[in-house]
Amino acid sequence: MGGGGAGASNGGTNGGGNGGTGAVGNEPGDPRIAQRIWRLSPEQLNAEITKLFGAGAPVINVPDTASENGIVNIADNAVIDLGNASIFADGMRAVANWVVEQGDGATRCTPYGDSVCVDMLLGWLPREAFRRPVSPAEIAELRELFDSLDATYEYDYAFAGLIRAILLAPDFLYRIELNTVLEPFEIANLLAFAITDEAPDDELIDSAENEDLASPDVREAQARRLVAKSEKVWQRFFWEWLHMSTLYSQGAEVGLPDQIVDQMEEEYRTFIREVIVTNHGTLRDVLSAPYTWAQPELAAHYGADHPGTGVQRIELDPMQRGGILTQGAWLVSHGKDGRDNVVRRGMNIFKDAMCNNTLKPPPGVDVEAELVKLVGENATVREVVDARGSAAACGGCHQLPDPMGMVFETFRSDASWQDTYPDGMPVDSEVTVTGLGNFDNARLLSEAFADDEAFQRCFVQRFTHFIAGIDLGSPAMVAWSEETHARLVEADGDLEEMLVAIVRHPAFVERRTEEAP
Amino acid sequence: MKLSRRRLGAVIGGATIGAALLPQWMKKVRAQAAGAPVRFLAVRSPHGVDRDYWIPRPTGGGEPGSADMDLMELTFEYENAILSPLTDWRSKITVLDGLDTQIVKGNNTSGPSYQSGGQTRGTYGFHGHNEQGTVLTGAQPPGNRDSGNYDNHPSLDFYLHDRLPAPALLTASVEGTGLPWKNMSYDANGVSRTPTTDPQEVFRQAFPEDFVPPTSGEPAVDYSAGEQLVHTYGEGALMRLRERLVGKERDKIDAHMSAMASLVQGGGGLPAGMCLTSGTDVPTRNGDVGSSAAVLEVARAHARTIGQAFACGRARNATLQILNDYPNWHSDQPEVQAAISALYDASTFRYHENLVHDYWMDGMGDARRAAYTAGLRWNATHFAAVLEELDAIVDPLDPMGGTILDNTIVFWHNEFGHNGHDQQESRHPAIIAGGGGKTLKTGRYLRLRNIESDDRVAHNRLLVSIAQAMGLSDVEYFGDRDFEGNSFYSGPLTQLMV
Repeated sequence: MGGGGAGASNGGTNGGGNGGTGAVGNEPGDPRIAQRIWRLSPEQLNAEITKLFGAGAPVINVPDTASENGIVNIADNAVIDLGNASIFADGMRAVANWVVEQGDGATRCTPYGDSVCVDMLLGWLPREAFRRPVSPAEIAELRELFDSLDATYEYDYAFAGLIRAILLAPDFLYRIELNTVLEPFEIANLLAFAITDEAPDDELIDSAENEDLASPDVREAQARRLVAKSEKVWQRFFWEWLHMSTLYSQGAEVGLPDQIVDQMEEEYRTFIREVIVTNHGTLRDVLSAPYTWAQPELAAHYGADHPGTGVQRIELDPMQRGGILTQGAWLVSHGKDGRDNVVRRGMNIFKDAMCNNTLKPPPGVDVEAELVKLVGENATVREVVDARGSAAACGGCHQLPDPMGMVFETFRSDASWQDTYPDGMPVDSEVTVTGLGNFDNARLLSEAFADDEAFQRCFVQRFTHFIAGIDLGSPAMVAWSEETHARLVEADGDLEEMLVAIVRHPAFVERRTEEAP
Repeated sequence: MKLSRRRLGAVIGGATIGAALLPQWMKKVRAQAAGAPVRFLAVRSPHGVDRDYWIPRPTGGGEPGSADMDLMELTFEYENAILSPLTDWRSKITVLDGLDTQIVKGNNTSGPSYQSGGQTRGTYGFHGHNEQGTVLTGAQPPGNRDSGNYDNHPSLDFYLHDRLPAPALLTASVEGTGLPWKNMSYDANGVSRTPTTDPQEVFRQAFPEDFVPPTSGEPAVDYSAGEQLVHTYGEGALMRLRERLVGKERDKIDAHMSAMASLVQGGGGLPAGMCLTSGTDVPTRNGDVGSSAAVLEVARAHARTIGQAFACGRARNATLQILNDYPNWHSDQPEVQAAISALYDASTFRYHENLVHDYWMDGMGDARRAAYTAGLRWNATHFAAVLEELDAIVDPLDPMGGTILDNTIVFWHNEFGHNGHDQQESRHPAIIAGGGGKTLKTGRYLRLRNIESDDRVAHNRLLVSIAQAMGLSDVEYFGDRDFEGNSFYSGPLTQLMV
């Protein structure tokens, strides 16, 4: 077993960070993002298509971009190139053909099929698809395109071609942030996608047309209104930040029925919506609320009472569960079909949720064999953890995270509760977590994370990374993040206040110029 | 497909059609607004159905929540589900629940005909096989089933072929049906047509040996100029944006533009359908089955041949029967074998006799149900393969780049309904696939009636729906001459029509 030491807490960001390694700013500490275009994520793209044409429109399966620290929708990585252009081209063709097949409903024409219908389409589609006002010259260009197609081909083909042209235009495919002080519709798009993961709604469009969205007060008012529609953003963020995309693969590995795995994701999404959006909860609530929303089968899996049928709020034993780190989605995502999950769960918290760097064992090292050398074949989980933490080659990386994972040993790999391991050995989950205290209860440790500065700062850093599509750097180095963190603390972990702090900051609406290399 | 610059220029003034050998009905398509012509394929599988394991269900089980639902909201994945192989095809099929070949009981003179055991025209009464011809003829069985004539009633495929002619009407089967009254197709005089079991022979019926594609390697309609126009618009928009960007953001747009340009140059735009089949492209697979494992291969070969014939204008209507009650290939199917091991001696087990005959009368133990549904699920894998073959051929006449499946109404059914071998007129399993949702709805679960009630919905109305969807809007009734004008058997299934 080998490897180096763990990175210092919160200092070891992998991202560029405007003040950190690989700085992209004009000067150290400059929190502004460069002028840029940012392709819609697969979820955003398909949601926009559905909004434009209605339910049932074909779904375009665009692959996710490369992630950074689990955050998927990264502006620099979101490109259209030889690797995926055909997916967009074929996908938009399928959508356009589907729209034509629907006729009146999807095209909003009455009736579909004549020249008037083309003008009707041009009266709404470009504006809604481009998410900004469209000039008469732009409309004329599109009409000319249709007329050219119609002169040679069938009406259906020409009509579908017009739709394809609009959907393949960069104004639809990209979010555009090109002005040093963003223009009203650029801000409206930024606000809407940041808070709702969707294009601006009518009220925000109206605000862009009639109000000064460059004003922080106006942005704050819009942001507070949009929080009611923010569930997709929170659901996607926590899922990515805590690396839960492995739920289904790990669920299969540990032998969970598909139904229970599905219910675990459903529980997670319902919990996030209810706690954050419906009840305006705090980070502490997300991490330690002793209740959840589940179907009867999942409640039984947890050993909890359920009032009847369907997804219902259920109360949890606060000495066993509370918050997302004790829910099936997280526990199974970081579970393994083996005896213990100390390292997997501990590392996810320490490395991913608290922004620490760790090293992997050197290639070729048989970790299991090295552990046997240290503690013998029949060692308890406690003995393994203690030996690993104190061994020179291992302790640098394992000493801090292993106790965090140890507390969660009361949950099997399939997220059910256990007092003993399958071999009959009792579960020993009592630990001392450096800087946080002694724990033998996963919910109380989760609650302590909510008040831990290192944890909070990482949360803010990853959330701004998620919102901005770029790693701005740690709060210690970037004023925008630092002020956001300060507001989170001041508001006792209120997530809406944190969101408002982000959108009020000047860096939210200012872009620095990037010179050609 | 690469198109020469000369050819691009040539089509600007009007789409080219490689029309030399195209039949008249294909040439007319350019004048139609809706695009490609609709074709028809009827597919039949054997051994009836247990309706309760054939329907899609909500994820949590139970009956579908309403009579008209999006299939994507339902699942085929549950224990013993028959249609699970069609899960990926849900958007292109519609499940019709509660369809009845009620006309076989139509001559009853008293009481609810389906309860009283009244007279059919046929002397064989309630023998299910005797009534197989009813599905596509819409008529009562003949008095003498061995006569080889369905009492002068044509089947729908022959009727459509007569009204919408093409060089060939294809009637194919995997294994022979053996007896004339087990066939699907009946000509204008009601004479049973024996299907062709060898895909090579079916191919020859569609394609003469000297047949050459209309314009070898060229699409029947060339949309490359249109694709170029759409591309040019996008290129202009990208260029305008590019001019406002610098550095890596401009690099993004350059990569975007380069990729889109390569798609158009490489023919990656509209998938251009072509008739590429010549008379010498005889399938390598013949009709010899020999084992249950080969059934799928032969079914695919037939489906591919039918698809090619549709694409090249050599046929517009076809039937495909994938096995019949004998020679009992279902008995050897591994999943069936596994399920019956506790019930029967595998060496003497016969799927049709032991399961199909006795399934209802003996009651349904878990093992019996698992075995029966496993065999029917095997049927569904064959049908999924048929859809896959049709969907793999781009339709030369579809202005939207659709496939042959998108322009073919596929009607899949069994020979018996829900309640067994000899009482087969109720709840026939019927699935409509393809057609791109242009004429008949796809992607739906449609419950046509209260399943548990004595209501009945005549399947003649489905035959009318298909005829109208093929463009024959004057067809208001299709079936037994004695019932023409009877409203119960007339008119289309409005739930199904687009």
